[in-house]
Amino acid sequence: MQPLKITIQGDYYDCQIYRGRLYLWTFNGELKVCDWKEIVNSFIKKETDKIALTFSFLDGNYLYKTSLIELFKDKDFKKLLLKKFKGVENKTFTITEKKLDKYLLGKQDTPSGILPTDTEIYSNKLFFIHEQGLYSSSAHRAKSEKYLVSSRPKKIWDCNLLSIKANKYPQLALSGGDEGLFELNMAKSQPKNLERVENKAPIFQISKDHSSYSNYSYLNIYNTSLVENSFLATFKWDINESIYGQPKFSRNFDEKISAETLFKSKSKRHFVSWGVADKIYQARNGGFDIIKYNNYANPEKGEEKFQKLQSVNLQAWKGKVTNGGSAYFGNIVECENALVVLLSDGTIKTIPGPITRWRVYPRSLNYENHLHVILDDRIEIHSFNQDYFLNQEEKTIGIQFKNERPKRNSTVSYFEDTDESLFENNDLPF
Amino acid sequence: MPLTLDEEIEIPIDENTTTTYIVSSQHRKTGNPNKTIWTLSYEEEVECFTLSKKESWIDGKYGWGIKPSNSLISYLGHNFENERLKLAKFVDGSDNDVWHGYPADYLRRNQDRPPYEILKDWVKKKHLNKSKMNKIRRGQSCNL
Repeated sequence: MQPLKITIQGDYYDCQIYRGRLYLWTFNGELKVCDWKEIVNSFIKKETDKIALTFSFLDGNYLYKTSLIELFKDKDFKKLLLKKFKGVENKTFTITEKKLDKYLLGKQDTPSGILPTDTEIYSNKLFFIHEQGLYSSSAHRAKSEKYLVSSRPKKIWDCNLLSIKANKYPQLALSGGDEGLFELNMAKSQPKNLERVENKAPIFQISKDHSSYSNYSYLNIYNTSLVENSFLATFKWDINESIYGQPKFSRNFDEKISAETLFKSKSKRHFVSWGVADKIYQARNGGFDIIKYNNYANPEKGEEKFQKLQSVNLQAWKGKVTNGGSAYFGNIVECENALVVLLSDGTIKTIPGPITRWRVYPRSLNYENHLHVILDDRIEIHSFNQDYFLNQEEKTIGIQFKNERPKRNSTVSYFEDTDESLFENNDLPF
Repeated sequence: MPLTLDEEIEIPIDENTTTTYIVSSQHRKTGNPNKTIWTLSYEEEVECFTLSKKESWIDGKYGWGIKPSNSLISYLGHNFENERLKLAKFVDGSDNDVWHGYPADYLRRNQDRPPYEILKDWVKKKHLNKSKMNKIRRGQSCNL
């Protein structure tokens, strides 16, 4: 099954997609906010293409529904849907920079005037970093507003960070290079055993060890360092006190588990490793290894917390592994000369560089099948759809999809791309 | 006249301006894990700084340098791990236009990452592409 792709020409530096809007930062410092639904709809020329294009680009979560998974066990239904995807897979969907103007909801200077080093959109807020610190601006504002992203960002912290990553819960992992690993914790209950390093914002230091980038793995954070040892910082829920019979919980730091321990490695050479959700990865000469992380392993039943799943080899021309990420549809491995996508069905797609930036959105509800790749003169929005038809418990590549999210109203699904109900109770998951 | 370590050298920038540079012995001897080491000659180090000044790759009391060679950037030093370094950082510590410099280890040290405006100028002048600019800003390795 071939992935689908929409190409938007232009000189871009960063991108985000959130609640029906595509955010594009141009290299000359503009932030364009585009109507993503209208862009996709402009490619639906025939009613028979609508299902495939809608699921591919607007409503990626829909096909993971338990009821549909049951339906796909019927080969005839599965065949019919696959035929729909096949019908559009060889089509070219391209928008010129000029034509993009037709779908612009807003255009403004990037907030604070400096192109961001990294961005996240979370709870209707754009968080971004650059050399002057960590900022937030209200985003997804009403179309009637002059600026769809506030042009007056709030400076949260003045640390020169390298990357930020949002969790499902109201937390943001902050990688600060040689300053260490931090977390902006927006939950009501705060960790009791971590040092708060900023008076004005709930920012806690998790480790003083080097942090290049980090990602959430359940409650925990996998910290990747490109120059020192990487590690998994684990957290636990502790009961603080009981108020009116209701226990109050704190997510407290537990321990640091080094990459050497996780991978049982004795090599003194440094290889990049990264972790997202239920998998941890470590590069080695000519490829990388995958470890399954079972946070709920029961040793009494012989279950292991960390279990090596498989090794993957990469062709030499692609170069050394420099970065990696994961989505439900597969693993994304950034090498010196290419971006390699190892799909959950075992196939491999290679996107030759130079690549300015790539993003996946596993936290999103509608765009979790997207891979956005910014190249020199365009952004490519890839949609991978093979994962819906796989047994999630058996697959080794990509994050395992679990149907555990709250029910949502399908009539508004295009715009419910993040589970905003999570923010209604900041003490989640309790 | 041959250049000497730790002595002030007056460098003409244009008809009306001069600046002062010191080739620091701290970044010429091995053994200190906190100091990166130049592999350029003294003269090349001064040339690298002069280019930085002439191109205005200066941000306050810090300057940033590269050694362009055709369409590539040459390496100009190494760190204690013997990793090759291709960017230079210059410092006017006393804010009196007396500078010294060292190879910048942007992967390991936050303060060794050139600021956005300097990197953007390097992209405009085709010393870097966007991809490499982004990787430097994010402290990631790239084939400069």
